[in-house]
Formats: sequence, C-alpha cells, structure tokens
Amino acid sequence: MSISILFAVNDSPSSRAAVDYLAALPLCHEEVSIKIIHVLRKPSAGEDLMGKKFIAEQSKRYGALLEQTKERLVQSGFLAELVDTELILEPYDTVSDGIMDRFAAHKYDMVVIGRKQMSKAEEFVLGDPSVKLVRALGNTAILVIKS
Amino acid sequence: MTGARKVVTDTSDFFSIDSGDELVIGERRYEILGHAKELRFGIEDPKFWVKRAIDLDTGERKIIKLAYFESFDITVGGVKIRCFRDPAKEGKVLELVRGNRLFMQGEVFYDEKENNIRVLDIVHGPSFMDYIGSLYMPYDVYYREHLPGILKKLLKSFDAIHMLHTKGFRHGDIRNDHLIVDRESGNFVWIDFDYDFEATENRFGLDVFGIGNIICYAVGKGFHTYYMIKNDRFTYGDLIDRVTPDDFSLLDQGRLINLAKLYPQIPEMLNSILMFFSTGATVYYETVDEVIEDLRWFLDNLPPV
Repeated sequence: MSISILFAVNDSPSSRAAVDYLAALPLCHEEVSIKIIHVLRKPSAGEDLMGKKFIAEQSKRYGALLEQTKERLVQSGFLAELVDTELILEPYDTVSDGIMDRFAAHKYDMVVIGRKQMSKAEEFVLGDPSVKLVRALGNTAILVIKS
Repeated sequence: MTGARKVVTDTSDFFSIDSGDELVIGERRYEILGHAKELRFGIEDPKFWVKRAIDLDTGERKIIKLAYFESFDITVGGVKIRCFRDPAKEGKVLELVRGNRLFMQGEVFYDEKENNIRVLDIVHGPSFMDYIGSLYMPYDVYYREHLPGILKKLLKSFDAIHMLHTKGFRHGDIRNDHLIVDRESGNFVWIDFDYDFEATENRFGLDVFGIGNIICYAVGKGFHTYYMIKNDRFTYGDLIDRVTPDDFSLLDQGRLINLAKLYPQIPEMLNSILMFFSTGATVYYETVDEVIEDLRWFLDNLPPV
C-alpha cells in the first residue's frame, strides 16, 4: 500500500532533526512518495524594508535547502523519483496557511514537521505551525518531531 | 487673539505645529488647540504628533493624528516582538470601519508632501479602565448587577475585533484605555489602531492577549497583582497562601488570572475562559472567535445568582 507524505521544512535545528528522523524511519521506500516543501511567509514590515534583493536571496537559500533535504532522504533509501520538492514562493500570512493549502490541493496520508522547543509564552505569542496543523487538518496523520 | 496665525500645509515637522496654528488640508481648515497627552500609570506622556483641533467650518472638536513612524521592540512574557506605528494601516482601518459605531470614526487626508493625516471624531466618555474604576460597590453587587451587562457589551466589541481580523487587520494595541464607553450610545468603542506588531505564526496573538486582559479586568473589577495580594492582607486575606504561579497570567506573571480564588462566586465556566490565559494553561485561544464562542456560551447559560 503506497503512502504519500507532505514534509514541511525550514533551516532550523528542529527541521534538521525531523529530516534525520524521517530518514531513519523503517518505511518501505518503494511505497513512499514524499513532497518536501518550504513556505515563504509574507515579510514583516522589517523584512520588507530590506528590499527585493533580500527576498530573492531567501528564495535561493531555501531552494538549496530543499535539494539538500531531498539528497539526505535519497541517501537513506527513498527513491529519487518518488521524492519531489517545491519552494512555495507565493507568500502566505503564516507558514501553516501555506502547508494547509498544499495539503488541500493533493491528499496526503501523513504530514511531517519539526517543532522547536518553545516556552509557553513563545508558543502563545509567536505561535507554532505544528499545533495549527494538528488542530486544522483532518483525515491524515500528523507526525511532529520535537527536538 | 494676538499675532497672525501660522498656516500649515506641510505637517512633516509636527513638533513645530502648535496651538493657534491653522492646518489647511485641501478645502478643510483646522485650528490647533494643542497636542494630546496620554496619562498612564500616573505619568503624563505628550504625543506631539497628535493634535487637538477645531474644525473651523463646523466648530466640531477633532483629534488630528499626523504621520509619525517609530518602531521598537517590546517584551511580552519574555518574548521579544517588534512593534511599529503604521499610519497607513490606521487609515485603512478607518475606511473599513466607516459607519461601525464600535470603532472611532475618522477620515484620512494627505498634505502637500503626501503625509498621512487622520482627522478623527472624538469619542466622548471614560475609558473602560476609568469606567470600571468608577464603580464603587462591593464585588457581590458588581458581579450580580453590572458584570453580565458589561460582558454583553464587551462581546459586541470583541465581535468588532473579529471582523477586523477576518479582513486581515490587527488592532495592534488592545488595552483597557483604548476602549471608550461612549456616553451617547453606551457602546464600548475601540480607538487608537495605529500600532501594529511583527507578523508571526500566531497573527493575532497579541490582540487575543489584549482581549484576555480586558476580560480579566472586567471580571476582577480591576487588576489584582501579586504585589497587592502579598502586601494588602486587609483586602486579600490569606489569598497569598493559596495562589501558585499557575494562577497568574502567562504573559504578565504579576497579574492574577485565576480570579475564582479571590471571588469564589465566579463560576467555573467563566473562570475557565480566564484560565486559558494563565501560566498553567497548556492550550490557548488562537483567535478571538474562540474567546467569543466561550463567552457567549457563558452568557447564554448564566448560572442562577
């Protein structure tokens, strides 16, 4: 039985931990397809002031991140033709909005995301995509890797 | 009046615009009466970019906010957040809420240098902070006779904030002196929405936190801090021996949020709304409509007094 996974990444230590965890999972690689995504959040006023060049550099940086993530998974046994990447350039208000949109466009059996250690105050003020996904998504499994 | 009035058409240097000056924006003329001051924590804070004025054609008193850009970091519960003034945002909100009497009303203009100028109608009445502070009565009487009506009016005001959020705007500075009890309508009216804060994954988090503070203030008939509880045994009795860190606000750890420990008549269903804002909470409100839903449920199922 084949399964499809939506894997949201960024360049944080918790995301790297999630990559390592997924790479080590004893899955039947021939049956697993993975879509690795990175969602660009709409720049805040501060980042906006940094200009188009800064935004373009972000795209290049995260494009490279997606390729490195794919390579890591392929090295661990997943089939290259079943691992796809997408840098979502259309800026979303929140990362979770972008992930939920991608999820809605193509049904996935599992969503995988890393979660960094946060204080309660940080979680309240800054929010956490993994919590939002658990609350919002249905008919799927959500694997949250806490580092 | 002695001396010629200075006519101002460029508001870039708002410090130099003083009482007696005439501000001309297109066809409109305003006499400046002075600048606004904010009184908070006993300290008067002058706001030179906010002028008190009279419309010279209609005689109406107005508040005129001039373009002032500042950004700074605030720390909320130990979390650093970038805040900034955004006159354009306030202008857009004013256009969005035109005719909605739960928000201050006004118009946006631009001077000859394209500076954003907001001419606002004054909302006459005390702030919510002062209004609650003026209710001198035992808590029992307040709880039975005033709190349900206050919460019903707050629900309407929270609905208004929810509307802003659905249109993609934050208020940005929800606090109990930015909510005015309108003498004419009795509504609780929002003012001052020129602040904004850095977008995070929780887009409306600080607005939700502000709403929680207002509910806490209303239910508690004021704020009750750890310092007060510890040092005023006459008022608080042995409460200091019964509270734990989990009973205090997540983002303001000196503020008691578990008010049922102070006022046992507060029912579980109301206290539980407050407890979502506590240090002991493991689940939080993410959006204003979640708070509204719970508060509305409480008001629709008021326990017998």
